[in-house]
Amino acid sequence: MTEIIAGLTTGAIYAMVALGYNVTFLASGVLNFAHANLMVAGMFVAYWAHSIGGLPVPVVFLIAFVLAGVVGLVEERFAIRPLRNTSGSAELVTMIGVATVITGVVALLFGTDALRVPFFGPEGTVKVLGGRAQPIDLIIVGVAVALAAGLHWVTHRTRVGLAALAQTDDREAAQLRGINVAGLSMWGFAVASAAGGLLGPLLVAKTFAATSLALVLAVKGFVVLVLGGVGSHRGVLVAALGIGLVEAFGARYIGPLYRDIVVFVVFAIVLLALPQGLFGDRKVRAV
Amino acid sequence: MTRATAVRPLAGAWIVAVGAFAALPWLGASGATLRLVTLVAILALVVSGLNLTLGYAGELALAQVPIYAAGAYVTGYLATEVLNDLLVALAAAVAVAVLVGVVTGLPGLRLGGWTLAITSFFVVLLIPSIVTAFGDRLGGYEGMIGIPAPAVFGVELDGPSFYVVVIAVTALWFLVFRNIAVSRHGARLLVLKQSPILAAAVGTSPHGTKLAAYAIGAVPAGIAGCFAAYVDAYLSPLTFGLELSIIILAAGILGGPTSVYGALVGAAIMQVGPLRITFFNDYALVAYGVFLVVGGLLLRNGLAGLAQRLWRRVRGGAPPPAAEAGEALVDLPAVEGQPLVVSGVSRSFGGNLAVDDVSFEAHPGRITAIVGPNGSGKTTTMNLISGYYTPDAGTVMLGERVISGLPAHRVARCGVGRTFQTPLIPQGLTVQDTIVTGRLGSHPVSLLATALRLPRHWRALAEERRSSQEIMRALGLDRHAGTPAADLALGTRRMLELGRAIAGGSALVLLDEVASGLDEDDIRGLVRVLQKMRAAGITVVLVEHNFSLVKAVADSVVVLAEGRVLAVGTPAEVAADATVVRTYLGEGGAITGTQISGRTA
Amino acid sequence: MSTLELRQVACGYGDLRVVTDATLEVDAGSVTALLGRNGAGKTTTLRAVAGLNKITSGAATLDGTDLAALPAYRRARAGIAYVQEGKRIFRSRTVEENLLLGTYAGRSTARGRELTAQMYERFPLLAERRKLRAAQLSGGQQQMLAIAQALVADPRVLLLDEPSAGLAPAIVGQVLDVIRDLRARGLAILLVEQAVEFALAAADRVVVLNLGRTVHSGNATDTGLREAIRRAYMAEEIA
Repeated sequence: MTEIIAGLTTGAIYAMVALGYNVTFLASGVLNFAHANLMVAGMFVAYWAHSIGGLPVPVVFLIAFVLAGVVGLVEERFAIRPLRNTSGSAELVTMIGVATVITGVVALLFGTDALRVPFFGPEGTVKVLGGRAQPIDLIIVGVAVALAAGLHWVTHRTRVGLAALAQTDDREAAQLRGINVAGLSMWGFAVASAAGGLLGPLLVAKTFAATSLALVLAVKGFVVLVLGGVGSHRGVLVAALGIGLVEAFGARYIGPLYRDIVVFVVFAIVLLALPQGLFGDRKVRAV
Repeated sequence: MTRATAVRPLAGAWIVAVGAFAALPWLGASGATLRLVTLVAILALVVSGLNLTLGYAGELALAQVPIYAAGAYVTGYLATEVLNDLLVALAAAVAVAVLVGVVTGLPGLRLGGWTLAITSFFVVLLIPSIVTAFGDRLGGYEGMIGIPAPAVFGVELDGPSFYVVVIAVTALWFLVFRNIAVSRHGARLLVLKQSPILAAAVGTSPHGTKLAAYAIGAVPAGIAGCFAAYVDAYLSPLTFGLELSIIILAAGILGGPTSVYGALVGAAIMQVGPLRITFFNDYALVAYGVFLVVGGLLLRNGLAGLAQRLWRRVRGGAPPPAAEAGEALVDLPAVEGQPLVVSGVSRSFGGNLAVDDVSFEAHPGRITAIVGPNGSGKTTTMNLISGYYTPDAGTVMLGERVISGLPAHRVARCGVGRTFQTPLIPQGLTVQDTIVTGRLGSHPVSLLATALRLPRHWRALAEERRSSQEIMRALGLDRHAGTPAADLALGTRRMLELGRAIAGGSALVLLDEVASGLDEDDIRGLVRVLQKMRAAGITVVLVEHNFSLVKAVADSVVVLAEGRVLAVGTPAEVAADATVVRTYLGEGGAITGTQISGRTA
Repeated sequence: MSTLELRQVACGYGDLRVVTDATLEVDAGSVTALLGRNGAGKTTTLRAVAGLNKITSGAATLDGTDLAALPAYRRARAGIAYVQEGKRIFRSRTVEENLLLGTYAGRSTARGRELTAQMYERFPLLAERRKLRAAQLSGGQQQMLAIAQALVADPRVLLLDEPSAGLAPAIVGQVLDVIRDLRARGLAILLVEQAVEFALAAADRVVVLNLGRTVHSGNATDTGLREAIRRAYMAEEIA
């Protein structure tokens, strides 16, 4: 049971990254490569504002939220939008550039060592179905599930959700139906980035704040995204929790060294059986 | 722009540049400079592999770092434990690299796009685990130390000699790369990039071409790995990380992925620029990021794309050569068409019978039209003949051969050419090159002969030029021979598809809605070409909505309705058949519209 | 004043100017057909009116309001509905969702609902298939859905690009009926067609483009019309 909770927590973190990709994909047709970097930036905000500055918790979250949102907005405006009508994959390079700048700034301010930030909430262990867990684990899993459910509702039950789905089908035709695709893209980036930043201070107690975390989170986020099916919040959540469990059990029973190999094998087998992912059916623009 | 059919003199500039770089140690260059050039060469090799698989074949196989690492570790292991010989190490590194390249690419046979990208990218994360799993032999997590200086036949190479070897091998590889890129094999990759369906239609196996692309793309990464092991005499799993993957990707995109020398430029920029900036110190990472953003914004399709656009602008003023008179007088060379016999073919999709017991024949030197309302099974029939679908029942015979059941590329190799409703014309090929791609399956030339420009290559090239000239002249395309094919107007692209379909040997040519979207002038040209195809003895099967075109050219007409053959006969017979008129044209026959407006208004 | 007016409009893709002078008008309750050879600039003109291409010079007005400053989505909301060539519906969405998306450019939800009900009545096949994905429809049904999707926005101007392309003749007849009916309801329709007979059967006014210029403009009943069309289609170059 203890492994299950640890695995679900890891998976929930991956789910948060991948849900961020989903939102920018649905809103603008682009997977924001810098999303994980924004989450990590949020973690450093927590370190700076909470551990050093001693600011109250809500203010810490607010700073992380606003800061990441502004960065996302700027990224969309200056690194994505100018490349809208060009062929090639230049936006991949510009997004990697933005990700690198974020990491560079963080490293400049805080260095590259992992920093510990204590959890703002209740510490200690709780018993869950015979296993031991920390409150933060349960909170992270709960937030990921709520986030996926909320996004699923917005995407499939609201006007803006349908507009986003239409936009992923055919951007040009969406404009002709009166959908402001440029605005959708901009706000999609801003909201997804802000939410990513907001999650930083929550996750930091579990992960430590470290610049090297961003790339690993980004890649694992992509893995669960592809596994779950791009654009499917449900699929991403299921895939992420599944991958988290595979990691936890792989590390426990096969050895920590082979954790990623086990994940890879499972990933490859599932994809070969279901090339579109668990719940996916749309084609993503290839780079 | 690939100009496979154009003769290009070996650029003297290339020899001079390579010579100058090779001579650097004797021109007083510092050790640091030599090291920098070596690192550029190594990165350029890896990037060129990415360009082949991603830029040319369009496959998002991003496992360059694991391939590179495999080459490096094989070299390190051989040099420290078995035999320290640069040539042996190179061969072994390339062999293992190709193996890793094919294995990491394998998921690409089933997965596409992002899925393959993430699958192959992920392998980077496994490098430390795999290296550690080999135990002490590879040095584990701490790294492999004490790799000796390279030797050849027992003679140890000093710094400058090794440097010259690196430059020479890199130059040779780029020559081979160029020979592949600017050739039928480069075109074969571009065809695959455009569409696997098109790849099969010209007789190349999509799976085979993908595997070939993964394998060739791995060769330079293996070479690079071998050099890298010797350069630092030290290997650590940490150097083969995600950061390196991203640098490679960025260098490829900056240089322009669909280009040969873009890899050199991209690698040079990444090595000389952000990776070496020391005076920025703490700001290095930020500066690198800003550089990527600005570079990405400015370059868009890569430096090579920029250079191409500039070149086109400089040259742009030159008018295309005037149209040659008497296009209509040149005939297509005669061929031996094969009779097509479709007997009792059925096919259903999810319980829905799309084609139901269809039988008809098409003969050499005759045009057989398949007509019918939307959803009557015309396109399905076409796909059953060309091998994209296998019939549930019945057979398709071409001459004496049963072709039903063969995969599409094997059908194409029997001399079956086809066109598509939406023309599939690869980016980056000229009109003449595009026509030559029609011969890829039926007139294969080995990769080795092409890469090394063996006599076989030159003979095949001369033949390709001659036959494509003939076809272009008959189709009135010769004035466009050197034009980028994908930019042409729809009518010309349709004509080009016809030319490509004929180029494959043309026992049978299948035309899918070839007149749709054409204006009357284009259609008149099309009719002339169809008549030439008939005169040349080709078996022509035409799926068409435009009944006036069918009346003008077809010798016999097969009418399909709801997946069954409703009638067979000459156009006049079919047009007089009351059932046909009712099914095909709807109640009332002609386009008057009045009777339906009464209902809907 | 006509509902839609183009005065010497020049437009193209990027720095490539495809159209140098498109001049035409479309009145409420009438059909203007825009004819010309492949590459004459017909689709480019429609795209420019809809806001997908930039108008580089000249003026396009909707009820006297200049369109140049409005982005594409605002033009859609202002009452210009563009049915693109090749049945560009949202293929992964259901028929119902496609029609709901169509109402986004309309004035009110209530009006959108009312029009959607009308469309289902007019195209009963779409009503039967409302839960199916658009990609699962036949070619003819997709074209009907594309037109219905444009109409539920309650537009004043309808731009139709090759509505008959790739359709069986029986379906083409239905499309023609729909066009005539919409005209009777007071829509201003600008029709681009490759099939000249189809276009002439529908049009009140005919404008012929050649090499990006308006070379003929007149009534569909004019005696000299066919000769003008023939000249524009046949001539290789007009200096």
